[in-house]
Amino acid sequence: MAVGYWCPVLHAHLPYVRHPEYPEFLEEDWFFEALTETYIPLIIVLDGLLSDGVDYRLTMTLSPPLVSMMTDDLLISRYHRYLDRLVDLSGREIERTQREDSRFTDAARVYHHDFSRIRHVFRETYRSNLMQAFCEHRDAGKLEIITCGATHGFFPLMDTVPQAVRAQVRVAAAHYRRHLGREPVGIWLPECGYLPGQEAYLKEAGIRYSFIESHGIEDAHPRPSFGVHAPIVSPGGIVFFGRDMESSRQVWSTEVGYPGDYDYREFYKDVGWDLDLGYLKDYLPDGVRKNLGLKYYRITGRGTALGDKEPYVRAWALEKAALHAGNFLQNRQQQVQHLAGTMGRPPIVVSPYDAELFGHWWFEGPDFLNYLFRKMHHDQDVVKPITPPEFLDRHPECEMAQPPMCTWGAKGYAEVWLNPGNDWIYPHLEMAAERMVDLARRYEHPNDLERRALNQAARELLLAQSSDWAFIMKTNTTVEYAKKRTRDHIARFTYLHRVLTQGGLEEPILREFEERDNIFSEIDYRVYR
Amino acid sequence: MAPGLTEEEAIESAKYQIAGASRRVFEEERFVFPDTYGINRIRLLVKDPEWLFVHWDVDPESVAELRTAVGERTVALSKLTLRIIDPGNGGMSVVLLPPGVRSWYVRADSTRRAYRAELGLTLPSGEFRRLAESNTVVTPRVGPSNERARRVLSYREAQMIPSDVASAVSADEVRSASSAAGPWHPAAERVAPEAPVAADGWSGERPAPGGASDTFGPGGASDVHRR
Repeated sequence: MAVGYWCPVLHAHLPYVRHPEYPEFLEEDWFFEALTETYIPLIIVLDGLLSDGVDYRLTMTLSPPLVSMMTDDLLISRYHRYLDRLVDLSGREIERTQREDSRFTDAARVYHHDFSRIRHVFRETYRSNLMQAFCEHRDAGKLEIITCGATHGFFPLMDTVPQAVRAQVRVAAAHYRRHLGREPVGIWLPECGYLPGQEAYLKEAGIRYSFIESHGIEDAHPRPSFGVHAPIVSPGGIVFFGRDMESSRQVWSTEVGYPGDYDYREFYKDVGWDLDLGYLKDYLPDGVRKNLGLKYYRITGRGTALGDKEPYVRAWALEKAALHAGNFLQNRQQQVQHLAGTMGRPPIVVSPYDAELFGHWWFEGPDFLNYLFRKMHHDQDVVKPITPPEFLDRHPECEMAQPPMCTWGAKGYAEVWLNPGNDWIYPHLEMAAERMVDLARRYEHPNDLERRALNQAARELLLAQSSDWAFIMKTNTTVEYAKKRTRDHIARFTYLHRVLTQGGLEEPILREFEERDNIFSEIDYRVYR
Repeated sequence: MAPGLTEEEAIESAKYQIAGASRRVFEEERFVFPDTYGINRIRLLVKDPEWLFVHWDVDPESVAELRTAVGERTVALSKLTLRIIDPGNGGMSVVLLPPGVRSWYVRADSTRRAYRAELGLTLPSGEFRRLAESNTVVTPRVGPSNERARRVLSYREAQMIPSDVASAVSADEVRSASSAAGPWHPAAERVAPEAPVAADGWSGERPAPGGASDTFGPGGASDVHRR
């Protein structure tokens, strides 16, 4: 029997980005890059583990926007085009590097092989249906899929309109049922954002457990005996697992974390910026430079300038990934042995990460997980991977305590999503939410056109509420796009509210909104009552 | 990496990076966020244990009505005023707001406490005419509880807890925050209603109290509004 358990949680989420009004749209690459670098490589790793009989466990959020994009015909067709270009470019890169600088040829071959395999898995193995892949692993009892807020709204700042939080949860639960064929049991609170009392909405949707940041457990009242290494139950009846900081830092931290190793691939140096524009013209349709996913350099050293980076050597990187997996396992063994000694019961170490950390940011992340699960399965019995429901089946007793408001953002509260750079959005989001509640109450028996407008108003509100927009405004990445999305959804919502309260609804305008923001086709505006 | 980001934020933000991409041409029909929604409304949000964010809207009609009732000159000399109130224990901070401001960051007490906000006009006589009242919020507990958890529930028992019990947690939070803490004595005593504020009206998160958002408590002009 294991001394303790490790519960890895990958939070897979991207905002809903889909622009049918343009033949190509730069921000759709977020999704295509994540598919290519994270989600499909993870599926490949999990498939390998399953076929090799490795008894792995993984808990994974598939956020409703992400599931919606994975099942959207337009984005799927565009992703096929994206993959074809990558395979073509990487093939040409083998020839070019042989001709110009053979130091990079091995890496080009790796890319060509990986992209070809990813395309094969996507196109042939799963017939463009990645949900099938995830469901197969779930059905094998290895993968626990949890839901999230419908559009990743940040719940603690939505509490002034309770129906808005309730709608985020209910719409997500309905979406989960539709795409995964079951009731959701677990939820990843967007941004790990918890506010006391919001369990009510989770309970209503049948949710039983979730996760909170470590200080949500440590500062809970009364004080839990086992810290973050045993779940607690809140007075509202939801079980909360706490984030273990030690295991988190080993992966997240660029200072002491594995991803900063000098042999790993450098994220910031991409051929899309380095090679001749004429050569890249088939891969940069607008002639605008962007990342193309082929990166030939390793991190090389701390503070090494981009121009001084050295060539990436795949074999070295894989060796490091295996080494780090061994180190991680050793640390978890020591950790659970120590904890079990003091706790008198098997501890659980919960390690939540952004899924996109593995592969997109840390290129070798999926390899690390592959090695780690295999070592954990074959080499020892001290620590075993587990999912939250399995742990609760074995150790159902939980201390009752009330966690405080908490998030996994900087400083542990709401500052990332509420600061002078983004606070201007909240009066408008709240007003839209209040108006949506009013519309839902007002329209008892809408006609077909009104019903469509009401449902679309709900979609626009939900899309405006994505915490991603406030996050991007804070982190200063693609701020103009985040502002545009906030403005566009509020603008469309405001139009719909106006015509639903004052008349003048024009079907072509509504149809355009429906075509653009087509998420949650099954939504029922009455969720806001 | 943008300044001020944690490592996790920097990594997470890499999902959204398309460095150097050209600016897109946005839709021609540009929506302009309204300056006012034409209603009296004030809302309070918790940013962290030490700061609250409050935003509001004022119905021009209600100001016009007041003008009719008390006279144009009186209204012209009045100040839009924000009151942050501890509803359980008493105590209040008062902010005489600079013109044109729509939101404010307010320093909270260091202990877990409930707050409510009121927006109104302070007439030259000192009378406060309330325009709107906010929701009640509770700042989070910081640090471990002195009381050790004793009650144990099974996973199955937790599932049996009905959602209306969960709904009552918010009210319990307000109640317990109100009863646990003593009377609120807002820390700063300075009165600086005309203190310069940023163009966007924000004055929070500065190294030390002393901005207009910290015009608390007794002893100054704002004291006339103290309960």
